[in-house]
Amino acid sequence: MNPIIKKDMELRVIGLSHTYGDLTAVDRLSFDIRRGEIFGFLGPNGAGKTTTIKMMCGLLRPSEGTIEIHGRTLTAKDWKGLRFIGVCPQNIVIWETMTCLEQLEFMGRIYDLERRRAKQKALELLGVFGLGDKRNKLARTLSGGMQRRLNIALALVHEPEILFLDEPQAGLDPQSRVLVREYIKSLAGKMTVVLTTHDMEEAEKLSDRVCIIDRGRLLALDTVANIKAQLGQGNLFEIEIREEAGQKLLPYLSGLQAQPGRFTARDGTVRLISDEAVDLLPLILQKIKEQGLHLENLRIRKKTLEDVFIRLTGRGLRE
Amino acid sequence: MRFTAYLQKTFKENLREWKITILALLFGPFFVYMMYAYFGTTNPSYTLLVMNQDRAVTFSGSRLNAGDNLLAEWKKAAYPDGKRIFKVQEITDLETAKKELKSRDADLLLIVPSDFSDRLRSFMEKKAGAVPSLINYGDPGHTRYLAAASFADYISFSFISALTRVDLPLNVDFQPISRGHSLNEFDLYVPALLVLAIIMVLFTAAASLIKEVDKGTMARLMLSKLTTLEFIGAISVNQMLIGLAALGLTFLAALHVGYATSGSVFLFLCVGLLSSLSVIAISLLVAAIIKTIFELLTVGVFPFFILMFFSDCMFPLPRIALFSLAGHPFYANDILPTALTVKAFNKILNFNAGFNDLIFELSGILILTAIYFLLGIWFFRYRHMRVR
Repeated sequence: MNPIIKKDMELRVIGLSHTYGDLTAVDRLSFDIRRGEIFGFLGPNGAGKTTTIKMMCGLLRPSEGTIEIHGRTLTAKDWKGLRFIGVCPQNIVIWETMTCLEQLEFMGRIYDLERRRAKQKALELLGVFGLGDKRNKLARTLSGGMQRRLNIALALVHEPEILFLDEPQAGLDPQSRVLVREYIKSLAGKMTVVLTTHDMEEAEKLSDRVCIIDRGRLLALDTVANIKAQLGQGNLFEIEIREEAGQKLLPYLSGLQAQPGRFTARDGTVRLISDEAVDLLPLILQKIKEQGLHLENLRIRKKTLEDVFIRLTGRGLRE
Repeated sequence: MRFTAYLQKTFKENLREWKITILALLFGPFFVYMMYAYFGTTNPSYTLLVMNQDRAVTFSGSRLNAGDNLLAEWKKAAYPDGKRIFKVQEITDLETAKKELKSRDADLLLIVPSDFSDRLRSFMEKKAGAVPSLINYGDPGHTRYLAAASFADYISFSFISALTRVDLPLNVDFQPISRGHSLNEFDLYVPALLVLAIIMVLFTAAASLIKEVDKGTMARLMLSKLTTLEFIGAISVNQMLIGLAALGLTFLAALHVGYATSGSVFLFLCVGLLSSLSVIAISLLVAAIIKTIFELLTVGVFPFFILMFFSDCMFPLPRIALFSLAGHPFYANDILPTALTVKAFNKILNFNAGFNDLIFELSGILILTAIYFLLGIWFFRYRHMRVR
């Protein structure tokens, strides 16, 4: 995890809301993003992440609330051509009939980068994203993964100070994921990065702080370690029972329950978060044997961001 | 610099998306060759069917065969350039002749009755009485019939007048109205075909605009420093070049098949350039309504047809005068700048009009272009470049 180099605030969102007809996509959202940090912006599908990013980029007018940059409240008009913002949208947004080099150079030039500088930066980014040998290929001839890498490069060519990456790694192969992850890591401290992703492991590895939203509301905002601590101290202890009778086992286990950890059950899996899980293990196994249940699997592992995410946002499928 | 960057980008894209560009460039020439195949570039010949039932009579001791003589007159009738006016076919079966008229394989059927010479003899002997008659068949809705009947009547009256030595109460002196020679159908279509080439810019311009929306790249442009005017300006310059190229190719195609003009090519190109701009302005409105390239190729066809048909490009429209300005009537379809362009091109190319003769049309195109552009920019921005 990268330390936050500068603590000063870069971007502040205050009471931000947006409605589409009757649907409140973003509901009085407030948070701040610090200069140089990698800010993981997480939430299930339809949580309001993209809507919030669009508002922060000036592509969508907030129904309520304000956005401040360096203490100055911005209106949608102010955002036009703000050189310090770079956006990599969720979908691949490239000019298919331009070569990789041409479109990166073009992007630089419409941000007023001097022609030579634009070309230099374009070549540099093509190298960074492994597209150097494709510089003169039309974008439409690239593979999906290459197009996605080009999509990210387009957000960077004008050297922004704040970079919004909306699910940048979706659709990338493992090699490309590593490449993009390493690049994002390398930006820490040099550039403020707002990263949305469904890959919790990726968010955990990259983010200095994480913000979890659902149904447009803020659920958690802190460092990954602090957010994981919300689940309680200790490791996660999981018992899988073939009969899918985890719920039946709970009353027999409750007597064993160590404080402050507690047993939870869903289908055939019983979970316990506790520092004393290892000590409890023989007793738990004995209870399972007494009940005549068949133990399918047993794990003790560290809590992940995904555990917190599921705890906060639930298991229900979203649109 | 941003303007130049976008201009270069859109120019390259138009070259690489060559299919739609080629379509825009070759549509006009294609129609020129098609119209040439239909009309030809010289004065038209009309197919005249003649059923000559006339029986010869004796008059003043000699044989009078007026039917055959009139037939000979029709056969030798010619334009000043020597080309025959009629392709005369003698027929005997009325039903077959009518079928040919219905299928428009023939333009006019004339029946010379059996008593044609006899009546003529009586008229000449008595200097009074029943005049000989001709029976005329044709479709009044067919312009070629009307033209053929007009020529045939004139030749018939002249023949009878000469034979009977009865002067016609009216003498018509046919004079060409342009360039010292007569204008044929093809000549009159050429200005419209040239405008048709310009109208094709509607597709390329609207495609350039809507592509950025369809592909999502408009968001990138909106976030950049590129202004709306730079964006639309660069597309307009590029599309004007396409319009000019389409116009040039169509004009060359017309010259290739024999179209002749001594009008000012410079003035013609100036009007063409201005008209291209007006079509780009209309394409802004079209692009504002739609969201995807697919919609352009489906919904966008409708405004294309409106421009094509209501600009007098295909066939003459009923004239509904809205008002008159300095003696120039402003018709309902003149709200389309391309309709005024057809008139301007016609004046320049077919009637050698100079700048002063075109002030009404040029002013009209200029004002309409400005109005459409302002509306188009506002509407396009409102629909696709607005922070919602």
